[in-house]
Amino acid sequence: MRAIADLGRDLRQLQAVLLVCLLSLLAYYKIPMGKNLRGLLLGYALFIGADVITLTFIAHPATGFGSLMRGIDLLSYVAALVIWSISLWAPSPKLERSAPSKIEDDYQHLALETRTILLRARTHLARAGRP
Amino acid sequence: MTQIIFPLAIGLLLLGVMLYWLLHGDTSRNFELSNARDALAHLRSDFLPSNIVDRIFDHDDFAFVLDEKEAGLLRLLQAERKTVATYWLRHTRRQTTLVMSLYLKSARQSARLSVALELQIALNYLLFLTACNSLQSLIWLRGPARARKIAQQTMAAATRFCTVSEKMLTLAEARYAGLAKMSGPERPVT
Repeated sequence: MRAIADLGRDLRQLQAVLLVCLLSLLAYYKIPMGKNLRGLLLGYALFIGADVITLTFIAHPATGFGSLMRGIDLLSYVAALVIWSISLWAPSPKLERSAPSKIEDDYQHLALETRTILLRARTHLARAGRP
Repeated sequence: MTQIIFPLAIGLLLLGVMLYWLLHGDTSRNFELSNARDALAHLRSDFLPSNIVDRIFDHDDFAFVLDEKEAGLLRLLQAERKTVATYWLRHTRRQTTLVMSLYLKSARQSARLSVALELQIALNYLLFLTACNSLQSLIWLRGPARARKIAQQTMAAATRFCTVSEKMLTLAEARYAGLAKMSGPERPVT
């Protein structure tokens, strides 16, 4: 029984690590998403994050926070349900992607211009750092 | 003890990243790619003239004023150089951040990103920001003349970042050219 509980905790931690990676990528690239998906992720991350913390204390009763953490665990689950209910109540409109041809046109221009700027910037910076 | 600290760290990290994503993940505040031309024109014209930058971290001026043995003049020179150096540093960081934002904006439209190159860019950008922050602290603590060594490291980090960004842009250009050739007048979504 203990082994199953340990496995459950380990899997929760694995979920948390994978969610950290996913959220980091979403934040880094600032990927736009609708209200539904945003709420789904937010609720899930809150639930998993709180669950990992509370399960840690529950599994180690010597810390003395066991009963308090059971309450927090329950609250976090309710909070996640509320977030999911609010965000998934109605379907959000599909995000419009920019027209590909326009993006490509801009990107082509962007790439050429940025390279020129980076070359100029590098020259300036190299001059500044010269002994 | 590690049985408690490790899961706690993971849980707190997840909640922290979630909070950051919630606060900073809103793309509506960022400019659109179609505004890239304006931003790039601004970037192109806004780098400080190199002769000014050359003087900011120059120790010779300080040596000259020190020889004059005028305490007030030395204080004035230090204060002015500190202001100019701080401005220049913030400006450089802002411009680099803008280049990075433009890159990320275009990169997220692409389905064929190179993981190694992305990691390299992210690492170089992180190093550049760290070096910038260190240099800024050092300028405030010890003045621009004594921050020369860190300034050189910052510039090395910036140069690395620029080199990697340039490589990335060249690859993107090549990919774009290949796709354009393949599809003719119709341009596929990358």
